[in-house]
Amino acid sequence: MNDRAKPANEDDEDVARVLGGDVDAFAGIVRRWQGPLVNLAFRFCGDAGRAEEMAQEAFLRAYRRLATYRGDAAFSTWLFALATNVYRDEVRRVPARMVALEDAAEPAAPASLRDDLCAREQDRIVHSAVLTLPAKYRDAVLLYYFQEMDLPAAARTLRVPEGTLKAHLSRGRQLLRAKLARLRPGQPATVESAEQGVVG
Amino acid sequence: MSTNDHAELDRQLQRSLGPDTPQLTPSPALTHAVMARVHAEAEASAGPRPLAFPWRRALPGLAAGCVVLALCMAAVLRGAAEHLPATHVSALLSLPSYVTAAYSSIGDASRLRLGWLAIALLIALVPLSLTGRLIEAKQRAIER
Repeated sequence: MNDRAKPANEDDEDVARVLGGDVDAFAGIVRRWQGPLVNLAFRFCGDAGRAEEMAQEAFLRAYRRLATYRGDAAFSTWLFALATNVYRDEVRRVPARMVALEDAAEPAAPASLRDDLCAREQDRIVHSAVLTLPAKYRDAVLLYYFQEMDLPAAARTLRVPEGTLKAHLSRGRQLLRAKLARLRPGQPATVESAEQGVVG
Repeated sequence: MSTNDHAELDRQLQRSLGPDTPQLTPSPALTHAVMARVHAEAEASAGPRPLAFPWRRALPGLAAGCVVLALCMAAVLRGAAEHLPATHVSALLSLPSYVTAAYSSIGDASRLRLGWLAIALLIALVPLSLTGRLIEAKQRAIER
């Protein structure tokens, strides 16, 4: 993600200015991180409009707790950890609105999966399936893939040991396969059929 | 489950949840909305600005208070001079704890005209309480 390649010192400079009383300097942080935060929020709630509201809450909490950022880790790690907590609380309060997997349109033919439209539909279905996972597996899967399969980064964001994250990921994938297998009526919800259902 | 299958699921999840797909573009109003809330938060956490003491308004009151206090002290001393022997008066003036000495020496409070003393003290308190009320009114107006 390009936004994450921003020089860290820009963030640190803005943090120092905000803590020094220059509230307007926070706008720089918002401009740099609004894309990633809105997109991460979307992963949690599956609703673009709500994602912006959740990102707003995350930024507001970041502003309130800016003094707790010590600079010993990357600003992005601190911000993502904080935002993840906000999003987790939000979806606990108002669960994500999802399309029931059984109601999702099934691709007409395996060949059509190559079509962009079908691919997007598949993505949406997989996303919905992830959102139905228990919170700890859902968070592990969302953060791991959102952070480009960077296990240490995802573990730092979730504040769990890497081993724990690996275990959650493994269990999450297992549950996901079973859920996705239901897309294919008449087929048992085995790992193998689920994988066929997902990958086509 | 084979390594290939695992990789396929990884690929599918990355495509669905990865950082670049689907890339939502935040609305242009987002920064503005966040900053509006941040400014409101900053103002709220800063609290009301400390009020400068209204010296100009308080000065007449303080001056009046000082005058009344001086008059009271003069009345006390005059009363003491009228009713106490000269030796007691000189002792009274030389002692720093003259009030205690006056009470213990005189014994009879009525002879010091304590009623007048109380009235004088009340008069001294009036400008002080007026000043306090003025400050409170101004503070309430600012909060509103």
